[in-house]
Amino acid sequence: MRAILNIILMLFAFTLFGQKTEKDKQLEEATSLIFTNPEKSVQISTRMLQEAKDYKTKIIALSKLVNAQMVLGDISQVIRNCNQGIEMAKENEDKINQIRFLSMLGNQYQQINMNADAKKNLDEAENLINATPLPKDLLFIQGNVYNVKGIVFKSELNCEFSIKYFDKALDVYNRLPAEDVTVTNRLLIDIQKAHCLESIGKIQEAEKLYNEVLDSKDNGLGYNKYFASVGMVDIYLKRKDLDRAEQVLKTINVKDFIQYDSELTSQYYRLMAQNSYLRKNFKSYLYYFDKYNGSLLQISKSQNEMIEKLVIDDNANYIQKSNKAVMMNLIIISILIIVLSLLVLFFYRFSVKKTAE
Amino acid sequence: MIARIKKIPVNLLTERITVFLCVFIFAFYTPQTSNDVGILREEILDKMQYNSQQLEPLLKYYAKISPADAQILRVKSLLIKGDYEEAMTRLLALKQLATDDKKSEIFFQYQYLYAELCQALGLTSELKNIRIELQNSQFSKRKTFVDLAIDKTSFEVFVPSERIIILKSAIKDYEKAGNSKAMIQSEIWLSELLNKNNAESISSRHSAWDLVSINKPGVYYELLVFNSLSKIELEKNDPQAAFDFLKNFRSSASDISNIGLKADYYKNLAKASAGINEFNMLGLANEAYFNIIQNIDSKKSVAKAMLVNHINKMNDEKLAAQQQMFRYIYLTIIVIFIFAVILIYWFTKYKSKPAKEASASTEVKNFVIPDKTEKRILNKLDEFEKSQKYIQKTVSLKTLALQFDTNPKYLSEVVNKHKNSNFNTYINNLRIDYIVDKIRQDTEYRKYKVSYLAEECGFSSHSLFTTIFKNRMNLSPTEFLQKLNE
Repeated sequence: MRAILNIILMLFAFTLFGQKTEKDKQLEEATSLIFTNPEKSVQISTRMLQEAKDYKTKIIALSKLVNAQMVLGDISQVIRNCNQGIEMAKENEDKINQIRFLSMLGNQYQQINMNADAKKNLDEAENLINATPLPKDLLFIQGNVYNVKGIVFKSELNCEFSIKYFDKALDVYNRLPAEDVTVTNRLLIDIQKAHCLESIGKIQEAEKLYNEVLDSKDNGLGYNKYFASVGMVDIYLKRKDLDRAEQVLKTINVKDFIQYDSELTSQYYRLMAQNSYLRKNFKSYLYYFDKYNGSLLQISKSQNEMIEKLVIDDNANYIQKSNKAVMMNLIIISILIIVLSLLVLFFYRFSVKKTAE
Repeated sequence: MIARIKKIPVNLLTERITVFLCVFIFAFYTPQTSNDVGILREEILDKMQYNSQQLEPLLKYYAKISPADAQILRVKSLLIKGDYEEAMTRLLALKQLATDDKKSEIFFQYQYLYAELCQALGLTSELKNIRIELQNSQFSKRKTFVDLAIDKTSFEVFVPSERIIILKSAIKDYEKAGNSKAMIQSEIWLSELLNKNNAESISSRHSAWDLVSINKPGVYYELLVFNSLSKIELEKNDPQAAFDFLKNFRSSASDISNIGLKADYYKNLAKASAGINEFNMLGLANEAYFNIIQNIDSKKSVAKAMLVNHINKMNDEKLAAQQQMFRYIYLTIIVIFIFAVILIYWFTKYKSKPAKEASASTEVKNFVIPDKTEKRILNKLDEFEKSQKYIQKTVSLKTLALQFDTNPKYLSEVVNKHKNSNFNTYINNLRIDYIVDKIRQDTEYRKYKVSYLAEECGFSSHSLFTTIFKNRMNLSPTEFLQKLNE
């Protein structure tokens, strides 16, 4: 699922840098390296951020930095920099970038399942969008906000709300020119929406959407197309249509995503186990059941690692802040003691002298 | 009955009523002996594994007797149930109760449960920190652990070797107390901790089995033992034996609160069913297992987010507390400064006043000059004036006192008293009068430069001469000379 969001973010990045600061070659380089060499992109954008004097360059460099850090999975840095971006945009009364960073922050929180925090930021972005209509060329930001909000509701198992937001996102995307990236995003939302429709029992609508995704010629989806495949298999297995389920299962090449997406992997193994069970192939069932449990452990492990990293970074940040504050305060206290001691001494001598006179 | 009462003498009746009332009042006010409370606690620990409905009223009642302990048990029951979100919220409430005294047992229990939550949610770094704090705690882990070690996850807070020691100690205690239910659990945990082929492990399993067969403690305990036995059979690749152990709990397992045990049971049942081609049982176990896993997963996700926010909040609180501490330090320094200033002011103004007065009076006393001496000094001063020795540059209070064979203070006092000026002014005035006289009498002097005139009357500085001249004559030397020349 994370890959889906990365594609959406790519759109963020490209359009952000389509804002014509092309005079700066470094900015372009950092943009082009976001997915191919994110570490380098981080280096360039950090340097640019430090060197930039004007707000416009700073905010662009910061958004590039955030995008590259998102690809690297550096969650705590993304959160910190998004907050910095929001503050900077607020100070400069730049509503559009404020919406952008709020949306990115909401997206980041959603990825680590911190839905309450995600919703808070996305709500704020949505309120700003309602108050400040976006120009047509930046409508995709609005679409992204609705989409991420839909994903948040989906992960909270609130599928009715989720579908509402996916529809809103699709409505916005439909108003955009039919470029490849827009089409990809529409299809990605279709997958999410179909999943929700399926879970609330609207199987036919879900099937229609899955079919649309599977029939599309779009190459931008990559292995995410398999989300539609597993959705279809799930529907067929529920209908006990084992032949069609088997047919679709055969089109899924688990090697395409096993290394990248443990969530999709676990869904796949679960359906394979279910398929084996319905076919009364118990040996196969046990095999996929163990595989499913293994992938669950993998998901749990990677989630734990993600949260763990966030906690470690936050703790490190706290220690850094604390040490800095202690040093600062000790210096101030030392200066204060020296100054006040001198004042006391001066006052003492002055008083003694005055008394002597 | 009334007739029988009527037959009892009044005194005896009063006595009996009084005794009865005393017994009643005593029983009313002390309904819970420590034994009663212990039984109630044991009942709660038992019910939290498999009976949520009966647990709730017991916890409510226990909260009236011991609110903090009831809160501890509630958190424990929520952790067993897999309701991590609610456990987190309750744990924070417990922290509020506990933080008043960080050395208290409640705080230790809070940390213990917090560690268990971190363990369940996979936050190992946070767990490490708490583990260190728990190791350093003054409370007996064994005692506390025995009390709370009623589910498997409790063990994972400690290192394996420590877990085994604590468990063995717990089993002994339970045996002494005759608590067979707790013994069954402990024996099973111990057998699972030890190598399955280890003689001690086999013995523990058999002990648990025997206890279940003899005491018939209920579904949860039976399921616990048979699930453990089924795992051994599955590992031995004997699904039929595993299935035989598990099949009878198909419907009753769903009522068990312990989410970990429930998930494990359905997983083993699914495996055993698949192993013996039991299609219907497999379908049931498979669905139940997937649902439980999904449920645990979503609850864990929410709780993880809460825990991260909580850790952030705690860090922010620590920073705020640190800042507050520094504020107090600043305030203390400023207060000390103000106090020091006030002290100095008070000391110099009030304390030194009498000293000053005393020294002044001493001085007055010191300057009571004998009349004879005073007269002698005055005569000497007349002679000094007449001799015009004051134009010598070396003249000072000290040298003159030496010449007069007297004390400089006496000389100064006599000058002050009789010449109405201090010694320096007196000498300077004599010098100015001398030079003015000279200028007036001798026209030649009018042609001299001011510096020469200053030199002539004993001033070493031209500017000092001009200043003193102007003070004395209200005219500068130059103006004075011009006026005379006109």
